[in-house]
Amino acid sequence: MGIRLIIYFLILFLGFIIGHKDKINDGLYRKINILQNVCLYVLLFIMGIRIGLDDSVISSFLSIGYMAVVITLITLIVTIGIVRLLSKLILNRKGEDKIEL
Amino acid sequence: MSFNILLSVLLGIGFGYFILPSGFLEYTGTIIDIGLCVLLFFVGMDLGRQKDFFQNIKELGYKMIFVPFGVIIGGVLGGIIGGMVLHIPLGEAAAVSSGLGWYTLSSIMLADYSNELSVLAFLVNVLREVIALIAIPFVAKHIGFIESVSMCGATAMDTSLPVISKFTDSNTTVISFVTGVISTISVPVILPIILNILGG
Repeated sequence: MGIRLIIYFLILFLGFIIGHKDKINDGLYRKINILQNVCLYVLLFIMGIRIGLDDSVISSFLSIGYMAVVITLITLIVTIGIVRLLSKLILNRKGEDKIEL
Repeated sequence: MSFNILLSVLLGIGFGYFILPSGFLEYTGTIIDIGLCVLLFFVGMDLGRQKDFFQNIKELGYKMIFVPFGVIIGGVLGGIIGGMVLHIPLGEAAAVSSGLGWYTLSSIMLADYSNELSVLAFLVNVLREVIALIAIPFVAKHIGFIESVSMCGATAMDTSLPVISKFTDSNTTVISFVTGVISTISVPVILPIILNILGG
């Protein structure tokens, strides 16, 4: 995990440097944006394939899937609630989607 | 947008289950790694184009730590409440949900404890990743940017990061990466503690 983390950071950093140096004009940036969308959907599609190919995931989902769905949904709702509360307390956030400092 | 994400994942599941041979599984890891690296490069580029990036991060500073803190508390508490609803041992339910979306590690860590729990951990954390990916655009638009990050847990630094970057702003993208890193580091520490305290 450590090496993976370093690789992710280095790739982000490389992209950051190129973006920061204004090497990319708006026309090229729009094309990159389209490529970014295509990559994203392909990645999600492949992630789906991994789940679909794993027979144990599908079969166990049919037997204990309802428990997994209940725990996941409750966890997500509680997490969103706690983080929302903390963000209002700590960031004094006024807007809905902007991070007010 | 959520629909496109849902469609991509569901199409993938359908292709994997009905069409592709199981041997294809070994190639998917490499394809995902390459795709992820390309997307992270683009995310970095988006961040670099924001001219007030460093000023914003400086102002946010230590305050952004509350997000992973909330993610960890939410993960444990959500599991406890889930355990109450389903009438299963609270420690086991909390251990499962404290995987924070890192399904490989949480299921491996729970394999020694019980096979059933290991499978449940795998499912819960795979579901967390899939639901988070699908719900990010909706939550970011209707509830808030930081709340959309909180759903991702450990995946906020990798698979969910490109989606967060697309539907939020540069500050939130940085918070997402930091949240993912801290969540990822905390899973192998918190999961056994929860199991010991509540599972005993």
